[in-house]
Amino acid sequence: MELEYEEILREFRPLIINSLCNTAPCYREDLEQEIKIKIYEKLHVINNLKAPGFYELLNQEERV
Amino acid sequence: MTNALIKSFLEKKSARRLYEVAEKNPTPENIRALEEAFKQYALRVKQISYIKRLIKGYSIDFDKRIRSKVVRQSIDDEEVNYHNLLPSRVEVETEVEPNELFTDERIHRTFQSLKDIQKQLLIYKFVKNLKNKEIARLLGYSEQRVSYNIKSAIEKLKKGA
Repeated sequence: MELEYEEILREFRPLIINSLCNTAPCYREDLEQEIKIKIYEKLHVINNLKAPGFYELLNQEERV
Repeated sequence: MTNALIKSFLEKKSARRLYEVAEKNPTPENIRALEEAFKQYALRVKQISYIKRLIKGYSIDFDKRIRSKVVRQSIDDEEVNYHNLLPSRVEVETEVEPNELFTDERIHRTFQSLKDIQKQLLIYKFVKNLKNKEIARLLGYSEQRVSYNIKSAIEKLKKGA
């Protein structure tokens, strides 16, 4: 399930705004730009994450 | 089942149904349907938690960088202010006449025999009331050097008294 860059920005807007609110007003614009750049840089990582299988996870849990 | 991911997955009605069907009738099709639904769900959870950590972690890191930058700037400003407030080194040395500092002739003579740096440090310390740290920063000395020279100057004054 590939995530588009714009889609991430849209979906995580509330979290980004929350982070900006914890930063001094004069630095908010810089932080927002840097977060966007960081997300763009990590887009390939986000889209290459691997999920475990249901029974794989279930078996792991039983072994533990 | 204690795994949080499996637990939250099975809270969805459609997922619960897929699981029950696969458990009752474990055909390859039923198992594949459950596996695919779970993989999609688990991947989504992973992506969300990765992006959340990325945004939060980066914001904290950004704040740390800004804070250290602000502290550095304020230290620099402080230095500039001290330089503006204080007379130059030469002025300090000539502005305060040692005989104005000491009424005791012996101490006055001992003071005159001190090294230039020691005289200068004593004036900064006791006439200008600066802290060792401030003196060190002003003169570009280490704090230890300032402290050592002030102590040894005081020792000499005591001996001369």
